[in-house]
Amino acid sequence: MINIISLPFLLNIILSGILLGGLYALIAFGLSLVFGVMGIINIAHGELLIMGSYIAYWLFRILGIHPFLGLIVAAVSVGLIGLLMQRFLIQPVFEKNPFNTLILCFGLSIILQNVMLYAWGGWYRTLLLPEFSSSIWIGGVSINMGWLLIFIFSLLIMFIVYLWLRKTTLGTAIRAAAQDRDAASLMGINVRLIYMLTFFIGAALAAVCGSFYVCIYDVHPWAGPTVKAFIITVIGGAGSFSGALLGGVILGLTESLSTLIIPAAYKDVIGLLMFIIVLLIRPQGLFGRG
Amino acid sequence: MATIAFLLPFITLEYHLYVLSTAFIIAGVSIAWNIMGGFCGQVSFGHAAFFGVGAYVSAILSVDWNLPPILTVPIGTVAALILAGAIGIPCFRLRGAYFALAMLAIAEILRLVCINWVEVTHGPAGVYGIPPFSQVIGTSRRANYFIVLIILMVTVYISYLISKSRYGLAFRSILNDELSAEVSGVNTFKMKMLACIISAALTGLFGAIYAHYMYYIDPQTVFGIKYSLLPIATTLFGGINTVAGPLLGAVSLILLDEYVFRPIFPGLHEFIYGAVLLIVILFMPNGIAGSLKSIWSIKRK
Amino acid sequence: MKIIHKIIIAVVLAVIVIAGSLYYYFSSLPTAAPKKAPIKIAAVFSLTGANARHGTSTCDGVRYYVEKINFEGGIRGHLIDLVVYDDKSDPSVGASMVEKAISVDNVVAVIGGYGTAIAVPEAEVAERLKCPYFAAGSIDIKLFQRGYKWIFRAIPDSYGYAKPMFEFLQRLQKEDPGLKKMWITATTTSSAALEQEKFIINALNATFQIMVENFPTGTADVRPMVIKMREFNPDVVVFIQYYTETVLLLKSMMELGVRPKLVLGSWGMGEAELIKELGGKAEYLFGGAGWTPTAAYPGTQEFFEDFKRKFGYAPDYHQLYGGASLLAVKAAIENLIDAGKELTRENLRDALEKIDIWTPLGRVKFSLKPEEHPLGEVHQNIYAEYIIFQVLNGTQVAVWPPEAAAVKYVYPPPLRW
Repeated sequence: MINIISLPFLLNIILSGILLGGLYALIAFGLSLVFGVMGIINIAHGELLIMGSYIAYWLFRILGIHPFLGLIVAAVSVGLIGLLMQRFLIQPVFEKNPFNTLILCFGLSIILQNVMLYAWGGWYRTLLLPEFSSSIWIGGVSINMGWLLIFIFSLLIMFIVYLWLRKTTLGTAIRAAAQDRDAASLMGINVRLIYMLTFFIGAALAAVCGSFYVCIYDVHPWAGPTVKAFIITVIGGAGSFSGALLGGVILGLTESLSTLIIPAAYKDVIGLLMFIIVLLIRPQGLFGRG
Repeated sequence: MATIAFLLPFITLEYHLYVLSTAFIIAGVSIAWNIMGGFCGQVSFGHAAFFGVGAYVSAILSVDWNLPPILTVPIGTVAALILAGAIGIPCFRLRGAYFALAMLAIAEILRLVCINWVEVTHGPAGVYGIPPFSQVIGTSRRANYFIVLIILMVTVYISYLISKSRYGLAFRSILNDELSAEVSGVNTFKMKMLACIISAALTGLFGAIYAHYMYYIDPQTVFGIKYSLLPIATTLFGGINTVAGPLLGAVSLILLDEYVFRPIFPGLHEFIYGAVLLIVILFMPNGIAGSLKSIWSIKRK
Repeated sequence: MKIIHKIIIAVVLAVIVIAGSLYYYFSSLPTAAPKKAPIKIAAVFSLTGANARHGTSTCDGVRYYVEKINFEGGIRGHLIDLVVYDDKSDPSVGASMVEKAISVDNVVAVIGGYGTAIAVPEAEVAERLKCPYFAAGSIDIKLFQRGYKWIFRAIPDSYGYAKPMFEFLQRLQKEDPGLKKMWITATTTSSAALEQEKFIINALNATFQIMVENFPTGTADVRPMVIKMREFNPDVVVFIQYYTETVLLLKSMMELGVRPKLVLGSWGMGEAELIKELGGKAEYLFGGAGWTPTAAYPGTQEFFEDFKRKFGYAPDYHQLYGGASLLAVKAAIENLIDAGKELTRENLRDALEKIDIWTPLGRVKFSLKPEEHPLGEVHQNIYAEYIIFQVLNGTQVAVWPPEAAAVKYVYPPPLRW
């Protein structure tokens, strides 16, 4: 146990948590969007993310394309897969019985996991890129280059999507459909198409996140951080950009700071406990709409 | 069918009885899950929490405290029951999907606690050397098969009784429309709690049985996704909201998996479970038993 | 149905029945050279799932030796029929596979158990069904302290891992009294790792100031731990973690500028991948492994080259963990046959208790009574020991214990970051 906690040390830990939070926010953002617009809790979100990871991984391994570029390919392909899933599997079930979508997505996640397992094996894969081995030093505080880049990119991407939703026609249509499906329909918006588009974006965002993910974590078919994504979504509030961001940072900071007090082994338990507490006290999260 | 089940031990190898017994245990958990999820509409994705609690309490009491199974099994069941009470009270305020996930989170927390609280739970390696049900019967697969079978039959009967009772009626009303049920005077909170407690207790019971049948448990298996996912898949397959459904689903799925899928598609059998969920949800939301029931009622007309 | 259809169906059925019977008859005729009954041995490993990589490696080791033995004519003329089962990295599947192998497929011995969580239930099944079982991938001590009669271990146990490590550190401390502070981590997802850590801490508590930071496998963000490490400023850093965590820790240390006097890794550090991954930066790091290609045991080089040729990749200790187990079984069966005894599981178990052979993994002889082993284990290979290596010129070179050392270690190691 460290008895004297020096300031740089504390700052390092805090910074670590914040940078992690950026990534966490991105993980949750796609999920949050889909939930906010369609009311669908996509349990397969984590698997879509991991698919993105694998695509980015192979692009790098085979073609030498850096994940920060490869994420474009990953985003489009996984987005398409998501779109197809939505159109042919999720939508019909959702219309009949929303409750069943939960189980459907559960089934989908199992299938996706096993497809990936079959295709690429159970081995843990990760990319250890040079950016992640270098840091910037300010005083006694070190900032890992790679993490910083991910943080910046994540925020940038989330911000772009946010602006797009606010400013463009399509984006506004999505927000309209989210607010009131029937009214939007009456206004001439093809809600079905909107849903497909939203799911595409959600899946694409998951894949982008996956491309970052593989640079840091061990990726394997069942590494999907679906539960983490939910924790963040719940804490921050579903369907909210600032909610995802704040939720992500809060979780990141909590996990990082907790290593000072409790054994590192219990890090995940903290997140889960927070999840339950928030569910009980304020289920709509910090920024969510009930 | 029951007669076949009783006669089997005399004609087959012990290994096949083992497969059947594990199928029965899963069937038991499925039936238990169905009471809460199918009859009452409170879906939980973390039933492994109850299963694991039943298993661990029973195991630790037998191994560390030397209590006989006749005591540890009921205590394990009660432990699961207590957990359900503790969880139910705050969690039933949550909307359906959130509740399902909260259960998942709880199962995960318990798993992590079991891995790390080594002094009590023996850590990641799990607990081994759990004694069989009775020293007299010993470890014979044949004899223990009967014990599992009998408990399963009792469970089926309990499920049947519930579905026919006024509680079952109350559960169904909540399933169909909670608001209307509340309005027509059903104390939905009390009913949901009841469903949860019964479901949890039965699940815990099977967890304890699992411990004394396998002689070994580990946190990854008993708190893992398997005992949260399988009950749902088998219940859906067999027919949610029916009495025989989960039993049918569990036994058929597991036997299919062991004797058909595994030999033909080794390595893909988990995929099959996912595919089953999908197919059932898409085409037969009422499962096999449910579809049979509708065909039966159509024929009668 | 028309008459002609009925006739056609009858003819087709008849043909099938006759063809089937003929096939069955001919396949059970003795072939020209009278074959001796094959010896059935089971290999139960994680071929899919989380442990797939190591499970497959260990299984490959078994396969390699089976192929080699069969190529050379089998065990006294009997070919080995190796039946491979996948436990899918799931303990209950492993247990049921072992049960199946023994009661349905009638194997005479089972080799399996990568990972303690899987080995323990498998061992229990084998013990209950009275069949010799080799734990080829678990170093857990408690399993072999229970006095089980049917399970064996040819590989070192967690004490066998820890002892060379702490003896090495004690030796270094004598040379350099400046070695005072130690930071150690073990993966919490394996009780064997925690056991190993406990042995090291107990041995070194008196002379080192120790900081313990355990975390589970799968933890991605190790920076907070390394930041704390930096605050502590240790002289020695010890890892008992799997591959990815080891690499993550090393990379974080490099990136955060933590430079202890020496780094000693266990488990993941022993994988050949690591040197490729870290390149020149791995130079002078110390690690432990059940075996390295430079170990001075008989047949080591041969095994290394031959395996690489046949399987297309360089083996590390995993392959020999499986291989040595098989070699032990082979030796026991040979003795049985030579003594004119029937090959039953009971006789095999008795024969195994008597063997004393050399393999590329080292010498193999099992303890028969608790007194014969420092921790009271029965059927544990008393000669199995961990080897400490140092990365020199891009290869793992055995440097400790002295009997297995190829060269003297370089201390203080000029770490390359």
